[in-house]
Amino acid sequence: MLRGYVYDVENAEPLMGVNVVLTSSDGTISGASSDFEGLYVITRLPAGRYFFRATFIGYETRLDTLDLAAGEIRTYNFSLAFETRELDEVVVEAERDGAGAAAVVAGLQTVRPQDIDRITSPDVSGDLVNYLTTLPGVVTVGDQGGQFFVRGGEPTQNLVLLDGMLVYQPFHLIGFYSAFPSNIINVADVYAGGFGARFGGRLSSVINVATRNGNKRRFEGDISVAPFVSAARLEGPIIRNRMSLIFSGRMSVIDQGVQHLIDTPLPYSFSDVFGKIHANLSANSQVSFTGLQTYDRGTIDPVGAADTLSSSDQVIWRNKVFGTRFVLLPTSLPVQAEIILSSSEIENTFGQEIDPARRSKASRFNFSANITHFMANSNLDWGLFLSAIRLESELGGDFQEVSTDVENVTEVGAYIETEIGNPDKIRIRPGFRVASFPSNGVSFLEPRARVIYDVGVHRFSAAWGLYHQEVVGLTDRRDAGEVFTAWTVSPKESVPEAMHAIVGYQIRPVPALRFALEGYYKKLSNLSIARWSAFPRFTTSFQKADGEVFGIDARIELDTGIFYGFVNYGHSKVEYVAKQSEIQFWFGTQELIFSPPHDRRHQVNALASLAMYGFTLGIRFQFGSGLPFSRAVGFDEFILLDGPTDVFEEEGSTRVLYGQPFDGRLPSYHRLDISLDKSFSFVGGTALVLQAGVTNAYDRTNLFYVDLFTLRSLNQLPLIPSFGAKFEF
Amino acid sequence: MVSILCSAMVISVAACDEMVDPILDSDRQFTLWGTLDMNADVQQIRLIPIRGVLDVRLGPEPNVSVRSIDLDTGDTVTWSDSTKTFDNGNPVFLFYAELKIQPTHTYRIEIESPDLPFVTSAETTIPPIPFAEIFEEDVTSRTSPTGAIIVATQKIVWHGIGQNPHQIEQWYRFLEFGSFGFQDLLLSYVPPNEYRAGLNELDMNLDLRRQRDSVAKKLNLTQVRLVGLGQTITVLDGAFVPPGGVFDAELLAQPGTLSNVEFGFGFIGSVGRFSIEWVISDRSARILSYIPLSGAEKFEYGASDPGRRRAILSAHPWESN
Repeated sequence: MLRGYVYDVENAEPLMGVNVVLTSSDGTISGASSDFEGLYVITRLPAGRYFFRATFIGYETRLDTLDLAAGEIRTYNFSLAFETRELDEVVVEAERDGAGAAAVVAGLQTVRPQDIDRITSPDVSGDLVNYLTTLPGVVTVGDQGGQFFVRGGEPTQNLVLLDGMLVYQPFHLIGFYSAFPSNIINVADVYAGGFGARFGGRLSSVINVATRNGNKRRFEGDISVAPFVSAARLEGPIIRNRMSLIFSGRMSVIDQGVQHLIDTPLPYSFSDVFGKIHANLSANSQVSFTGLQTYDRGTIDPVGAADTLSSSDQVIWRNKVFGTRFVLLPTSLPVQAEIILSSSEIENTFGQEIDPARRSKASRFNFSANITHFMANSNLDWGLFLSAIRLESELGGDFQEVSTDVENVTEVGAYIETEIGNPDKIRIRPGFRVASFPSNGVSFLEPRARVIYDVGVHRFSAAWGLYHQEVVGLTDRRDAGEVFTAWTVSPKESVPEAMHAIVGYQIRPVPALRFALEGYYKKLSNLSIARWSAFPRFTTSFQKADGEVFGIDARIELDTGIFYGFVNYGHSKVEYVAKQSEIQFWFGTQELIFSPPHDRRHQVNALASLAMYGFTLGIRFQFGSGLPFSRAVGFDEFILLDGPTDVFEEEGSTRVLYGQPFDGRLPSYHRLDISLDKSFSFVGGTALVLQAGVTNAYDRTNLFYVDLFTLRSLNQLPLIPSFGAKFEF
Repeated sequence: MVSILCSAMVISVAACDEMVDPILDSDRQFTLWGTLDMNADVQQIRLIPIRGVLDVRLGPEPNVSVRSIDLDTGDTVTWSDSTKTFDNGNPVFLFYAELKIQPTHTYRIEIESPDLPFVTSAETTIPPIPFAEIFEEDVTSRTSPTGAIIVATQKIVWHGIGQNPHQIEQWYRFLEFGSFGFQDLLLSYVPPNEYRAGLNELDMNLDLRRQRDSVAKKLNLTQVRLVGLGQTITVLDGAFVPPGGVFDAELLAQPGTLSNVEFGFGFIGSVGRFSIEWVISDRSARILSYIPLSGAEKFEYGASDPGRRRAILSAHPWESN
């Protein structure tokens, strides 16, 4: 067996997608391509002499001759250098497979930093969230709020991992930013559904971000300023070629930046800090230490004190994530072992920062071991995981059905999955995941399966799986502006469950063009939704609901090198059903059937990027049909008549005379963003990137939401001109 | 191609900023709250215009006329308006009328506004007047090795009650030594399932010994004389019944729940409180450790049924209290 890591000679970062081919003396060819860590593995190699060839578009080919003994497990790490001769950029971009706007396979989209940087944004640096919002089936309720819905799922049903560590709420209050700037990302796998057995504990989606290790050859970095954010990144060797550091920090500058450009209060503040130390302990082992901290503060309220950060209605959340990851290739075993120890925490408050009215905190300590056995024709993946979760809430008396202030939960489990079939034709990846919560006395068995079938330029794919979520985030979704989330444990008898089914088709008739079509269905059970109540106040008086999601996505992507563009269209329908006895006198039925406020039926995302004469012009257009919102007959006062009552003295409680939930539709959302970038290179490898752009170019008045209880409306961001600069060194 | 598509879409949509109306069309105009009280000479209701804004201070002032109609007699009374403001600045619109409502009559309250197309109305039928039968108390005492065993019960039957009373209050009246003032002691009384719907009767069997124990915890029985016992029941009209039988604010706040207002929300109900008073014999009082007010033995029992006696101390149950 031959295995090893492939690195970029410039910075010792792993190279993904490098083709490694061995040709034996009798002409037999064996091969593999490297994964996101640069790891390649070629099995079933008889003893003998092999001609080694490693190729990667844009890089110089590596050639070698290797003599392998019978049964030998050889680790062969190498680096590739960027090819200096001029290449046809068309070929460079088009022949890299596995990523791109239309390269979706059974719900999985692989995102590279260069994909992110192509997305037009009001910042000179890219951010993962800007790419995610171009995906069909991904819905945000607005430019503000940091809420992120994937194919009908709720934000708290997304599993977001950073180097295998859970991040509870990585999306910032301003929708252009997350905790993941593109320059710290190695690759991100986004499963809109149908994810495999390795992932669990969430119902909707997985965003699995692998970060870069940092430059092990030399120090480099960048500093940028833009209307929303100022950022800095520094990376470099601690021990040359062996140990590196990467650090990134960003801080919002809305007060000093964008608020001066527009006449709209934006009472938001956020920041994120990321750091990672990575070391190659030997040719066969690596270790990394990663930390992330985010902070968001703001008031999502259109009136009152919303224009200041001292409001009593402000929401704050903080993520703290740190952990270590150890990867080992045992010398004598055809195995890769990964051990992750991590701690994840989110603290969420609502109210004044010093004395918030509501507070919620979730902490999770996690251990996981992931083992891959490299076998003759397939891999066998299995793993164990153990989590200790602590959930704390101080909810000011408003949460009527969450009685526990502190909950401790333990989760243990295992998974196994393998890949069978012919790698060049059909690949079937069945798997099982078992998760058990001994403290709650519940266990789940979750079968999963993914299938890929290639026929010439056609690719068919499918995925199916069962999913459970024991620890749930409760948010009063009746109000789209409500982002306070309390984490709690599901009752034993009604743990939320989802079944995903995905069928996809992809065709690439020519290297520069790709088209994909994908249909999906999700069946949801035991969801927690806010009870429909006439009292205009925050509640977590929740009830159970079932739901169904189905939709279809179509994507077309064109990459000619000079021009890159895609158009995505998504159609979906989300419907929840719940029973609530007290509404029957008003609605005539106990059954609530409604489309929740993230049910966006039609979406179009289009991007056009033109690179000429050193300039890059980017145009991005987004269209979304109107989101549901609730309407009301009006308001009155409710007086409890429980016998003889003096209505002269009883003041009563203000009441909203609501209509059917979410029976109205906001106007459609659409926005055009334009940016123009120009890069200037200087001696010593430094460069200056300047960007000018405009967000919401035609100043569309997009409604963010209409509050059911106040009937106040809040608009999304107006036209925002932006100017940014980034100095790279 | 994409640029052309984008441009075309921009041109087609840029000029059309749409607005939304979060208020649904409805024929509901007002919310009414109030209870017509059989024991009151002046009736009152609260009127709340249904408004399109959360803040009541920003809502409209009602331009209405309010009247009540006795549907049994046709008598119509025009109500007067009154406005007050709570401490928090919220205005309140009230309407009242001098009106002695009659038992079993149905009253219709109508709200009419020249600005609105519909007459908002609610109807309530006043409960009938019940009467009570009070049976002679059954008080015995016997000695046992552990002390005296007292068994003391008294049967009371209310007739002509359309539904289980909303509230039953039991009290004892005492006269303090050295004083001419009465002292009433109210006991909570949670009725067991004593209402017999088919007979429109409430059949109670009071445990006087247990009540004595409750009284003794609050009063020094050597310092007072027992004057008599009393009971007040509060009866609601037949429509004044919450879903599930419980007045739960979370439930009742939902629009349309326990509502009888046409072209509006809220509820107009009617209530009556009926009281009786009686005495027990000096002998019974002494067995129960009370000091009786002398003369109770003089009360006469019904000749036809020596086991029964009427509540000779009671006033007309509707007019008392």
